[in-house]
Amino acid sequence: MTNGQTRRTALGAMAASVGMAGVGLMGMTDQTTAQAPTGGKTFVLVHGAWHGGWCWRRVSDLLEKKGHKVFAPTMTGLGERSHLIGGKIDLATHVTDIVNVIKWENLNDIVLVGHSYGGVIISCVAEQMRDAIAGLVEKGETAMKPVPAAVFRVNEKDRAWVDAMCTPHPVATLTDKITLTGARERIAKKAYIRAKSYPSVPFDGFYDALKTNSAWRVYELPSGHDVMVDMPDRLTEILLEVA
Amino acid sequence: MAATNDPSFTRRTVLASAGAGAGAAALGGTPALAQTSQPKTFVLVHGAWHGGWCWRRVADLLEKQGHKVFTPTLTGVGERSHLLSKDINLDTHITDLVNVFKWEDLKDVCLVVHSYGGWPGSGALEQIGDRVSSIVWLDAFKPENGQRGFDFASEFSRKAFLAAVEKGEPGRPSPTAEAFRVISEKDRAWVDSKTTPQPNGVAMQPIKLTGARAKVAKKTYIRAAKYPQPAFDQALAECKADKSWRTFEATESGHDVMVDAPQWLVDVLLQVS
Repeated sequence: MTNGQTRRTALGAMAASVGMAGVGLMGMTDQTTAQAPTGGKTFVLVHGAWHGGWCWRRVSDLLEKKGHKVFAPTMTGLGERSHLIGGKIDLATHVTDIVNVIKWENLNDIVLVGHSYGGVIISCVAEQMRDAIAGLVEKGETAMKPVPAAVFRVNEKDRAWVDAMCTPHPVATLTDKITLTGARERIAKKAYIRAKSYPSVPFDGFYDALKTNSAWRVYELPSGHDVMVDMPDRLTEILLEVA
Repeated sequence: MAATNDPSFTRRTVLASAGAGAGAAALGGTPALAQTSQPKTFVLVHGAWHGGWCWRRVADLLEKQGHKVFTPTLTGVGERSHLLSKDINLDTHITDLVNVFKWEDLKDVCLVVHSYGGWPGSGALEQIGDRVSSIVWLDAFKPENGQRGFDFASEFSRKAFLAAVEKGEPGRPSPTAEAFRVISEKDRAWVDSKTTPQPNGVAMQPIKLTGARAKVAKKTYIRAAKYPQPAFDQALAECKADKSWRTFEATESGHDVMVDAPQWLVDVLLQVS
């Protein structure tokens, strides 16, 4: 495997990850790898804004228990990487955070899962929050305070935990424009999961559009935005069903 | 993030000052579960130039048996090499580890450190020592209060270090896998394709220690016999003379024991954790 090939593979994978708020199966062909147990799959779980790899704990535990390999990297400036927050973190940093895990761990045949900011919605959210974000930039703010778990409709029992763990999100990652060339649509298996208890016009829009697109499988769950926290068992079932 | 359809909320979020949150970790939540009868939690810390990737075989073997494994990559190397900068110091690496314990809410952990990992590992224990029930020093540095990594550097490292600093570079290139005495040719190619420059700053900051490492209940030192390194010979000798430490020698392994002898290492880890 040359460096060039690795880079190409990884960049392809990343375009998919940033671009989707769902699940996809990557058909990579590296020869070396993370040894998932026989029959096991490899999952890369990408968290949303203010969150970190910590939010996937329940889903990771369930998947690992079934013999799958799980990577839940925390993006720079957040969660256990929050000591690295600073003005230099931009969208490219977060893209590289994920691309590099795939490169250094030599992952292939990945099921890539993006939650919220980890998905397509980044451009839409950036549009919607344009004024607010512009205000932050004018004030020289480089980080944005977390949205309370209650707003995300996280189940009441877990709100204190989620609020304790969420950290400010680097602003530049929300203002940078994303560059996509269609890699996401070329992935063989694609799924979109909508958490209905969390009201969101853009997510409803994505869901409705994909419902009639035979290339995508769609699911609606009676869950708050943090599906991995509210419904880890059902989410794990779906991940294994679509992988 | 998608609270955007609630303008009043968005405004509040945006206007509120950033900066809260980081210190709020560890207030309960969901500790990592485990599956088998006596599942354990391992945090495996890599050495200089390496990354979490080097533990792949060991992590796979442990997870297969139902144990929970975390292999954080320190800032500036491996998959975090895009973050390499002159600002990275020992405190950065110590916090890299401390925060994994806090955000994943880890307790009763077996902390395993390889080589340079002995520096951030010793520093982290000062903050999260009460969450660690056993430590394993794998062919690793065992620093005392006030020491710096630079003081221990091998001749190779010292020369490369000074050359890098002279050129104003944030890091210095890795020795070859052959220099680490990695045994198989195939593994050397793998290791060489993954190693990255080690941040210089981490070796210049004196470490602050008050004895947390010695307070851990179970302590083990493992020396890789096929890798010559006086500092590790000395650490092994000290541990042999101290009844609170158990010692092992990986007779058939180079410095990267997790690469050369993963099954042997897993057997030892399960025995001493």
